Amino acid sequence: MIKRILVIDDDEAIRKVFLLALEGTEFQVDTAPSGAIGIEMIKEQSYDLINIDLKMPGMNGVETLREIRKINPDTPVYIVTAFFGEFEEQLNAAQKEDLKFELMMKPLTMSQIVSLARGILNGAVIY
Amino acid sequence: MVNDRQKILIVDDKQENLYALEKVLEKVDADIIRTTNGNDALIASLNHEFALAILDVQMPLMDGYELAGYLRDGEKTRNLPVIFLTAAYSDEYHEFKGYEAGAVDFVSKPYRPEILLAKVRIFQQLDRQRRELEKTIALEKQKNHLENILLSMTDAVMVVSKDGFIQTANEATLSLLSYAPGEIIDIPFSELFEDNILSPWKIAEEKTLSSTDIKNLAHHNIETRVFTKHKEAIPVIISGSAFHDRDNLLLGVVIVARDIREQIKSQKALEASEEKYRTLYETSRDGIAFCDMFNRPIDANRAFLDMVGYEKAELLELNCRQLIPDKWHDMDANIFKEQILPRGYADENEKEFIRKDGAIFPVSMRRWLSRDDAGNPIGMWILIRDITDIKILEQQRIMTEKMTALGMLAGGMSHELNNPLMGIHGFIEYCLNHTETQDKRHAILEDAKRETKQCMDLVENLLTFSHMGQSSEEKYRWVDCEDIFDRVLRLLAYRIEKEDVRVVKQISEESRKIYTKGNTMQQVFLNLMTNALDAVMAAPKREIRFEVRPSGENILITLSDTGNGILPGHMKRIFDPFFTTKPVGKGTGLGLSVSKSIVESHGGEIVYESTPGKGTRIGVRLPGKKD
Repeated sequence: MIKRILVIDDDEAIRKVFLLALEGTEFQVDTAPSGAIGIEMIKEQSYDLINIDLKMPGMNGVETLREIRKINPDTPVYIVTAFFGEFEEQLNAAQKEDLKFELMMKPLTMSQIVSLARGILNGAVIY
Repeated sequence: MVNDRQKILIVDDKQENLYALEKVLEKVDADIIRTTNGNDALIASLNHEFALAILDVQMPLMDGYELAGYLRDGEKTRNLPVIFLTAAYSDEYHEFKGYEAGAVDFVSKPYRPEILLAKVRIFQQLDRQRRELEKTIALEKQKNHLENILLSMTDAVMVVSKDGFIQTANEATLSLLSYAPGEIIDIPFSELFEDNILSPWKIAEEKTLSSTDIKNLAHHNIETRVFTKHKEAIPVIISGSAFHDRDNLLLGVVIVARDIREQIKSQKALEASEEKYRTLYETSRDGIAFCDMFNRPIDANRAFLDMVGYEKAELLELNCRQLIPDKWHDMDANIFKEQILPRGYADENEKEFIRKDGAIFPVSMRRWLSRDDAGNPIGMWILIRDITDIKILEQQRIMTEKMTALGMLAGGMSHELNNPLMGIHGFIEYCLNHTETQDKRHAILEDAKRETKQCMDLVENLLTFSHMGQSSEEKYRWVDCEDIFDRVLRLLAYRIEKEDVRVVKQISEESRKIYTKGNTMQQVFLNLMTNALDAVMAAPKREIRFEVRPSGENILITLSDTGNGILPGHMKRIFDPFFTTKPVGKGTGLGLSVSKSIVESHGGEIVYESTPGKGTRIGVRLPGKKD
C-alpha cells in the first residue's frame, strides 16, 4: 500500500520542493496551502506523515496540529520551521496538552526531505 | 618717688646765718633747700617734699612763727616738723602753742652744732618712720582691693607659700573644693592637685619651690585635676605666677584654677560630632576635596587622593585645573560663573579627570561654594565619583541591546529568507538529479547549489550568533571554543577575505571546551579578532593565529597577530576603559576592558605580550574541564 504524505505550507516554493524531492519515490505526496484546507483533506483521506509549516496566515502550525489530533491522534506530525521564537509558548502549551509532534528546522535540502520521509515511514534511521 | 634722699628747708633773712647753718648740716645725709624769706619758703614747700624745716624766728615781714602757721595750714606740709631758732633770752616759744607736740623744737642761738645735728637726725628718723607707715597703709589699701577682686572671681584663686602650703583661698576655691573658710589654710597643695601633672612642683614638695619650678608654672595653662574635701576629682586648668619680695626672693605662688567640667562636656560633644564627620569624610568612597577661590587645593580625602593618584602634599602643590583635561575648562568656567557664584552650587555633571600617571577616567562631579561668616566666598567643595564602572555597564547594556535587536532582525529575516532559499536549493537539487553528470550544466548547477548553501549557512550563523545570550536565564554550559571562533570568523569572513588575511587555527584535541554562558565569550573573541584585524592592516604580513591548548588545569586560548605591536607607552593602559588608538568613531576604547571583565567573570584572566614591529599575542586563560 502506498504511503501518503501531506505537506501544509503557505509558501508555494516549499510545497513544490517537497513534491519534487519525493517525486519518483515510493511515497504519494499531497499539499495544502493552508491549515484549514489541510484539515479538510485529512478528513477525506488518511495520511502516514504530515509536515506543517509553523508560521502561516489563518491557522498557524500549532492550531492546525490541534485540529489534526482531534481527527487522528497518532499520525506522525512534523512542524517544519525556520524560527520558532515567537511560537515558543504555543509549542510548549501543545506539549503540555500531550499533542504528539516533532520539530524540524528549515531549511531542508531535498536529500534531507527524502531521508526524513524514509526514516519515518520505512523505520530507517534518519540520515 | 624719684629721689629718696630727704630734703631740709632752711629759712633765715641773714645770708651769713644760712651759710653757717649749711656748714653744720653738711654732716647730714640730706639735700638742703634755702630761702631768705617766708614767701620763698612757702613756694619751695609746694615744689618739694621736706622732711624738716629749720626756721629763724626773727625775720622781717613774715617771722618764723607766722611761716610755721602757714605751713601747718598747707595740705602737704601739715605734718612738717619744725625747728625754731630763737634768741636765748626770749620766751617767744610760749606764743606758739597748739602746734602738734613732738613736731616742734626750739634751739637757742647761738647754738651748739652737735645739739642741732642731734635734733635734726631725730626728726629725720621720725620722717622716715612716717613715710614707711604711709607706704604700709597704701599697701594695705591695695591688698584690700585685690582681696575684693579675688572674692568676686569665679575662678578658684589660692596663694601657696614657698614651702608649698595654702595660705589664702578665695570663695570660689572653697565652693569648688567644698571646704569651709579656714579649713583649707595650711593644707599642702600636693594634696589638692593630682601630682603627676604637677611634676614641676614635685621637687618643691620635698623642699621649697625653686625658681625654675615657678617659671615652669608661670602663665602656663596646665590641665590637671583638683580634689575636693571628699576626694572627688574635678578637672581644671591651672596657671600660676610667683611673687617675690623686694630682694627678689621667692615668697610664694598664686594659683588660679578654672573648673573645666562644662567645657570638657561640650568639647566632647563637639569632638564626637567632628569625629563623625571626619570619619564620613575619610571613609567616603566619593572623592572630596576643598579648594580656594583660585582653584588651589586645600584639603582632600583618601578617596580623592586614591582616584587622582597623588599624595596629599603633591596635590596641594597643584591647581585643580591640572586634574581636568583642557577640553573641560571652558565649560567649568561657565558653570562657575552661571551656577556656583549666583546660587552657591553646581548641578551634578559628568566630565573627566586625569590621574597622576596620565590615565583619564570619567567622573560625575558636584561642587558647592563655601562662605565665611560674613558671606564672602572662601572656596569650593568638590565631590567626584568615579563612573568608569557605570560607563562599562552602560556599554555592556548597549551591546546586549544591539544583540537583542540583531536577534529579532535575524529571526524575522531568517524566516523570510529560509523559505525562498530552501526553495532555490530544492529546485537546483531537482535539476541536478535530472541532469547527466557529463552535461556541462551539471557542474554549473553544483556551483549554484554550493552558493545557495552558503547563503543558508550565513543565515543560520546569523541566527545562532544573535540568538544566544538573549535570555537572562541562560545557563553556563560546556561549549567547544572552535565553534565559537568559527561563528566569529563567519561574521568577519567578508573582511578577512577582502583584506587578504590568513587565519590559522591550531586547536588541541584534549582541551577545547570552555564553560561559558550565552554569547559572552563570542563577544570576547569578536573583540580580540577585530583588534587583530585592525593590527595587521598596516603590516606587510597579515596573519592571525588562533591557538587553543591546555595550560595546567586551565585552557589557554591565544590569538597572535603579525601587526605592528603595541607601543611600549601604551602597554599598561590597553585595558583602561576608553583607552583607544583607533581614530574617532572607529573604537569606543571599551572592547578590551569589556573583554577583560567578561573573562574575569568566567574566573579567567587575559594576558598579553607585544613586540613593536612584530606583533601582539593575547591570551585568554580560562578554567578547564576537569574530567
